[in-house]
Amino acid sequence: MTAPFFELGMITENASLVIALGLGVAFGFFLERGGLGNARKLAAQFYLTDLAVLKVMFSAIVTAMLGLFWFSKLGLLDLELVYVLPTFVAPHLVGGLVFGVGFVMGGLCPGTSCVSASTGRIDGLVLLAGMMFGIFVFNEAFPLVAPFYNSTPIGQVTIPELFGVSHGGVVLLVVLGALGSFVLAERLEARGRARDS
Amino acid sequence: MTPNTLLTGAALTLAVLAAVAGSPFPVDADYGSADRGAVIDVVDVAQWIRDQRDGLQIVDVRAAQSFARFNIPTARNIPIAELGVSGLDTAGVVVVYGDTADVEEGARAILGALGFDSVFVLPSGADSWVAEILNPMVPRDASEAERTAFDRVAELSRYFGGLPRVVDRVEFDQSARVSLEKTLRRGCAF
Repeated sequence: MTAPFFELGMITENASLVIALGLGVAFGFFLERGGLGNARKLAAQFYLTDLAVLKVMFSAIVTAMLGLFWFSKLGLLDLELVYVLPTFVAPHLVGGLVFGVGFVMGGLCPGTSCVSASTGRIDGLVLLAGMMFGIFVFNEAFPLVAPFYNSTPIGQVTIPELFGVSHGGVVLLVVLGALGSFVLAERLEARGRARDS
Repeated sequence: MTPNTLLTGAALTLAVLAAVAGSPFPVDADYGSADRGAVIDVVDVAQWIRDQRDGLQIVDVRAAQSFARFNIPTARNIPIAELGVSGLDTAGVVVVYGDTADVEEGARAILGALGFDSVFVLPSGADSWVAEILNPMVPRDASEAERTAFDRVAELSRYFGGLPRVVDRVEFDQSARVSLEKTLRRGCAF
């Protein structure tokens, strides 16, 4: 059996939606259990006192990346069917900036705001409402922003293609970067605790 | 040995092996086939249809409404999600077209994964057919070579009920659009 199952017609659209629901519930559960529904914990990474978010996200990236590489290598997954989002340089830069400002101000990102809201936290509910309003405003104003939204496209590019390095080389560099950042994170957290004590 | 140490060791081992392996694609994958994912010209497709090329399968992955409004002769409307159960002949030649390059590329990749060796993408197939087969135009001041190429397309166009024209300026103007509407209402013999 080869993945991705939906693209290869092995599961129906309805089945894919049910699976997505289950995966979403599991994702939210583990985020909440990891404490990422708490805005203070999320904001603390910007003050270098609690870098749990960095460790969680980098762990997820490394796990998914190694899984994709080796499942593809073993013929269990057709990597060419895994969708790669096209890159639009300027809109993505601006979007990332807006996302970063919102994240620091609110202490929650879109996913964790849902987690926070689901546990009854008021800040999560307010941020979720703000996010929905922002989505509404963006859609209403889309005819005005469409030219910028579609500007500077460079297609579906990946790091191996962009820099002319092998996929495996990129995997090794990312894993080494992740492990190095974990070590650095531990030292920064220890320094932050010592400063606060 | 703690779980963190085990996981770190496993990640490092897999990463080093990945660097040695280089590519994530299986060893026997034929990703260099010239036939896999080639882009084909609409005039060649028209010639194949007219010549009733053996094993030719035209696949339209657009929505049913778009297909019902207009489709390339002999095309089958197969949603991308149903390509795996479509009953297409893997030994035949498949020409796939859709609405966007992303959709067409996705369909091509799926067909390749399903074992189809000869898959061609006809970019914006329906629009290309309307513009280049049903409404081919050549400027009055065209060169000898352009006229010769146009004569080939014109013959194909007339075969499929199109309207080849010699014009002052080549553009898809309103009169051509009127011609298209008449063609759509009339329908094709296929």
